Amino acid sequence: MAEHRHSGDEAPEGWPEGDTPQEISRRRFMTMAIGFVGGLLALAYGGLGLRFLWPASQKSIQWEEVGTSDEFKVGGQPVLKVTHNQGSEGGAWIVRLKEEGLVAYDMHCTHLQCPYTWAGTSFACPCHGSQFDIHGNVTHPPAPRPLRRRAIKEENGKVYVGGIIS
Amino acid sequence: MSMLQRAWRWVDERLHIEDDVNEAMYHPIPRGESYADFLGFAAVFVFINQFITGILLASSYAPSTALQDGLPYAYWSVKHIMSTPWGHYLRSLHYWGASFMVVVVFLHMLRVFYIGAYKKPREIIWMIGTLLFVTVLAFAFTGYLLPWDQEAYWATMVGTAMAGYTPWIGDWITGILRGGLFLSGATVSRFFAIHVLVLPITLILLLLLHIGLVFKLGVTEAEKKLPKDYHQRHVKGRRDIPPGMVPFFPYGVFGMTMTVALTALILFVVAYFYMPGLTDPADPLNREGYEPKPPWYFMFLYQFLKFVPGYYWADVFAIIVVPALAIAALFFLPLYDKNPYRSPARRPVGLATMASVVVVIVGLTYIGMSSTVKPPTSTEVKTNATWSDVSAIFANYCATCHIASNSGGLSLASYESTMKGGDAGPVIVPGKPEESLLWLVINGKPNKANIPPMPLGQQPIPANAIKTIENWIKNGAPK
Ligand code: FES
Repeated sequence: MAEHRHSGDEAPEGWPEGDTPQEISRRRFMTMAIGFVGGLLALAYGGLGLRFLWPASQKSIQWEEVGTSDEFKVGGQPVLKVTHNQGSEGGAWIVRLKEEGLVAYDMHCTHLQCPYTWAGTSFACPCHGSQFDIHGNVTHPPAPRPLRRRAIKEENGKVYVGGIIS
Repeated sequence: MSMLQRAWRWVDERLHIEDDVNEAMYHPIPRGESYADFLGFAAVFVFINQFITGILLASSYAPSTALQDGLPYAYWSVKHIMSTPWGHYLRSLHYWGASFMVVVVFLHMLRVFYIGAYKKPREIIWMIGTLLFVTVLAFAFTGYLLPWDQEAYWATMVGTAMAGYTPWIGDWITGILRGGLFLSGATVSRFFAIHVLVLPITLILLLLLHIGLVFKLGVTEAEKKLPKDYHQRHVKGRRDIPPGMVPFFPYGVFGMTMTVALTALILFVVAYFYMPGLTDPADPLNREGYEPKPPWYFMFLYQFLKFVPGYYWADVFAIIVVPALAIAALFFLPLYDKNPYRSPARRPVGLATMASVVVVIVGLTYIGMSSTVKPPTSTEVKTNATWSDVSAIFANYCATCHIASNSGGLSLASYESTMKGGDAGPVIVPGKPEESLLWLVINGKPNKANIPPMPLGQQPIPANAIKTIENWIKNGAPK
């Protein structure tokens, strides 16, 4: 063996220290300990980061008053109302439908969340041209799904909007 | 011995780096290298520009949306920076620097591809380069939000919504990026931390590796000109330059300096004459009906998405799979490109692929740019309006739905398609505006086809433009 490469478990020829079983297991132990400590530290900081950056749950959105019941009549046009959630301003289009009663649509297009508007007979998004009917159903692509609905309720003549439910 | 020489001796006695420095500075390079070979250095320069202007901007910028004088603090602080001519120029340098960065890095990659410099043994340099390119895009994306104006807000809303199409974990990624369901102050501070801490560290580490390896392996062009045994010789330095070659210092360094000077000159001039403005402060309700559009370097993606049919999985494919594959294809290029030749003439397939990718990207960017709403070009009423006058108006106000696609079967892209009409029949009745469906809907008038006022959900077209269209129809809708 002219070219002997040190392969970890075998000592090169002529070296005094042989790979005694104790030596091998000692090395293995140290390698594992290094990996273990490194992995543990990485996990600790990774976990800390994730926990800190984790987005708050949808359920944290509170009911918010957006207007009075008589603002919304059957046959009326949808109205955009300001709502707040998780520290940011947002909005919902609210309309009273004959069949379903009061509904609230989140103001962001279901394609890529541009703000759509009510265009007289349908909701229209300026970004890639999606359209939705008054029930929130897609009438023109590319939006892949109906408008997102938000929880809505009436109490004592006032209208309240909550988090996204669909 | 001068002070300087003595100091150098002192250092070298301890570190033994004189040979390495000499080898780096005086290694042979081919005579008369193309200036395109120094584009990488131009990129380093633009990065230094971003670094310096960025630090200065950060000293006045506030990553917060709390109100200050009735404006979100981030917006207020950018406005404040722009309130003096020097501050405005500083922001302009940083703003244009971002675009330059994208362009210069892209050109650098094209050049490296063209001369085949990514091939063995430089595969890893290319791979690190692709990571650098992705880092530059991440810089552009995170920096775009910081002024917190309408443009920034909505471009980021859409950009982060795209991540939502990642299968299974999409909503979670979007939530992590935004720090909530939608954009808020949390998003600004997150993006700021990424933009000024995470990305610069990443970029510097990758850049050191990238450049260090270039020095270690030398430039591709030099390779074939060097004597076979060059790397076995022990003495390297300024006297060991094979015929037909020149030492890196000062020849290469001079070329680099000139490339940097030219880049700097263009940057300074462009930044001076085209100072960036601000749109209105971000309005999450978009009360004024701002129409979101991406920065130009993401325009091709925006345009590409318009061709995607409206199915969830089609979107996943277009938004996530295609870009991921594209980046992977770039990254692994040196591994699957088995063609051993470097010379462009012997790599027809590779170069044809590159050319078509460039044509597609440039083409999509162009279509995308010309389909977004521009401020009206001419406001006067044309009495003898022809197709070219009205098509300019269509391009400004109707393009998203009726040029880039054909909503309701109507395409206003050409004279013929306009005259043909859409699903509701012809839209132009020559000579009779009041009977032309197009005229009725842009005036918001009731019509038999029950088409809502156009442009759908937007401000109406300016009265003068409507008048021009009316005159055109009255005159018999000439071509
Ligand atoms: S975001 Fe509304 S159509 Fe794309």
